[in-house]
Amino acid sequence: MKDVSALMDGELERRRVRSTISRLEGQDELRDAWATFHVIRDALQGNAVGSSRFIEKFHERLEQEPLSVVPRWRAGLPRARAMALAGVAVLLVAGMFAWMSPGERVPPATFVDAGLSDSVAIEYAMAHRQLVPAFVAGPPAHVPAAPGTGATAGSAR
Amino acid sequence: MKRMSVRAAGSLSPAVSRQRRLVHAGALLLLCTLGAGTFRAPAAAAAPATDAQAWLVRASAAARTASYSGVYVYTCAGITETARVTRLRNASGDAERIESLDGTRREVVRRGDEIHYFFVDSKTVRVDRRVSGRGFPDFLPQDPSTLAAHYSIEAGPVDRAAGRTVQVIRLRARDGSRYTQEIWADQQSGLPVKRRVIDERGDIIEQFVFTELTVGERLSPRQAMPSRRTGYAGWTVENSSVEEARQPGTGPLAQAQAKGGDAAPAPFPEPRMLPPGFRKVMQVSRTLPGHDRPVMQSVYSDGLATLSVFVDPDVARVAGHEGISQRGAVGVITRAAGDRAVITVGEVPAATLRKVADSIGPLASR
Amino acid sequence: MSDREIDHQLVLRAQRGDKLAFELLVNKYERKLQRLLSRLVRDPAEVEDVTQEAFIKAYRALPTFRGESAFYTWLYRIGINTAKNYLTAQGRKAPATVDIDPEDAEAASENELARDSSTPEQEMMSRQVAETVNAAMDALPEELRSAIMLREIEGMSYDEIAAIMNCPIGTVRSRIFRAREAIAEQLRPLLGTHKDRRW
Repeated sequence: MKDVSALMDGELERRRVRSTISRLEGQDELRDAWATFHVIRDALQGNAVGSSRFIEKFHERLEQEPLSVVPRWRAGLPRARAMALAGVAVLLVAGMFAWMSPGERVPPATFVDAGLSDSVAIEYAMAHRQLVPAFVAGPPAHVPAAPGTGATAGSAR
Repeated sequence: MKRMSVRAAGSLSPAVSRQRRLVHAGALLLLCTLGAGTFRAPAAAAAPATDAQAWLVRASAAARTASYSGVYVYTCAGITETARVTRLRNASGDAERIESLDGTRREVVRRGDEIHYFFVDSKTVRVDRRVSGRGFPDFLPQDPSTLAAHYSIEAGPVDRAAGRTVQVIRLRARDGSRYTQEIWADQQSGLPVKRRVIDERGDIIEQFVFTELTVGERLSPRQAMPSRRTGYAGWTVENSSVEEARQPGTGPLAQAQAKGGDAAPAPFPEPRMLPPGFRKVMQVSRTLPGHDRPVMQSVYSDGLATLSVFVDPDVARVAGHEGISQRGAVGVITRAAGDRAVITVGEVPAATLRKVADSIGPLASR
Repeated sequence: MSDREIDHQLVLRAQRGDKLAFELLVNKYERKLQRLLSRLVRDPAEVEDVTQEAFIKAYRALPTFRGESAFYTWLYRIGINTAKNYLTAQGRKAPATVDIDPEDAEAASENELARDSSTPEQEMMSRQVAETVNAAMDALPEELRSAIMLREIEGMSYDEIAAIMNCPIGTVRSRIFRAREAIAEQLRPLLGTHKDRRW
């Protein structure tokens, strides 16, 4: 909470900013605090506080908006964060495929291999592999899509 | 058709011993550039660096620093997939793109630590981050000889793969709790061009191999960017996030949380038994698509193989899914434990996973 | 990290598809922007719509925001254009005060408090909020009140406040936070909570 207060003043330590914003987005009480603290600021600065439904209405409109951007990379490369230095086994360059296309929680019955066919198991295998490529030998740690998945119809999420 | 070089142990042709000197020099140079504190230069190390270890160091550095473009084939559990990868790294940055060449149309684009997964057929993009490792406890052995405690690191023959001359490096598991791995490293660049995971019966359970590869040539930055530049209107965006986390109740963050009046979350379980050589290397809180609440993930490694324990507060999610599954090198054990779900995942044999999962003790309920 | 950089962080997240980050920015600037646009769009029943429209346009224009200016400056310009277009579509003209810089606009606005257009309901709500905030401020211990006033009204940094109040920065941070919490507590009945707002 106090971090939210410091964040809105631009007085939070740089290294805490990202995690504070994430927490802010994820927790109702923090979002309430952010909203209310800004009402206080506006009241003190003389900006009329009219309808508290502004953000509600806006939220609905924003939901209808198609995604504004997918990030556009500029021609040059971004500055890489310094990687933790490696011991021997960072042989890998990160790069991954998902086990399955999103929304497709159950693999088709035609999946020949009797192995990992459970949707929950697949999800967690994917989550593990996505994080773990940094540890695994060889570029890249490839995680395949389930076979038989052709063009999946856009599944509702 | 493989060209096998047959050499008796200890007898080296002039060409190879020249390589060996170059490798040592190269490895030393790489070690210097990797920065102080992470390695003792081999010359100063207590344990003598073997040829194979030097190759491993070189392969590791090449995988981290080389720019390359190629096509590879990935095989596991009867599935084969092909993809094109381009990785660019220079003084100003690090970016990468992998495009599937068969199966559903997928593309992964990484720019620094930001990763986007584009599922073209279902018009979905998933936004994620790579954990760069900065600030984390050092997860890998400082010294290749630590790895040697659990893997016998051997230089195999000189071979050919991806149209290149390669050096085979075998990491043979010293015990049955982990898999053996083999790496084919390009002699010229050091880059791993082929890798296999081999189980206790000697079967190859996972492999990738480059079929085309160019290293170190001028590559256009466009090759490491998303292939579609526009036309994402109407796509669904899934946001994931990953943040380092601590066991609640410890650390300055938790103390600050406590002072700020935030309720401290209940501690989450950790395995009491790990295979020899495995230590915890990372702990993160993940926001996964479709999950309301974050999932805690602890990652353990012996320096080469990894396993993760996920604790998901939404135990209903795993109802009916409990059990053990395996595909290729990855095994998963899903269990409900009290009011949480515990999922153990790793590139280790099923028996190892089971021992780890069994050692995750009864959970304190909130 | 400065306020401008925080805005930039939120914009970056929004540019990556994080709509919630954009909503946090809307939270922050909705009233400020609405107040400024209300001097162009005199009809109070329409101002809110025009402001909403401006934010949507800003969202759509996110790819073009490069961080060279402060987010609010950029937002302000989009707001002005949105209001002008609206007036043109209505066959009306914008008043002459339109093209001043946001900084100037803010200075000028202090003299124009009475001229902001609002509906009776908005005025009543506004007054209730102002009264509650004032009452809560009066009830605060001296040091908390000073801290939040120096921050919000004088616009001082924590460093500056620490110098004036002769206390460590941590104390400044804590005092401002506690002041906000105390006032927020009084406002809660008026504003409702997250659940009420149906985010």
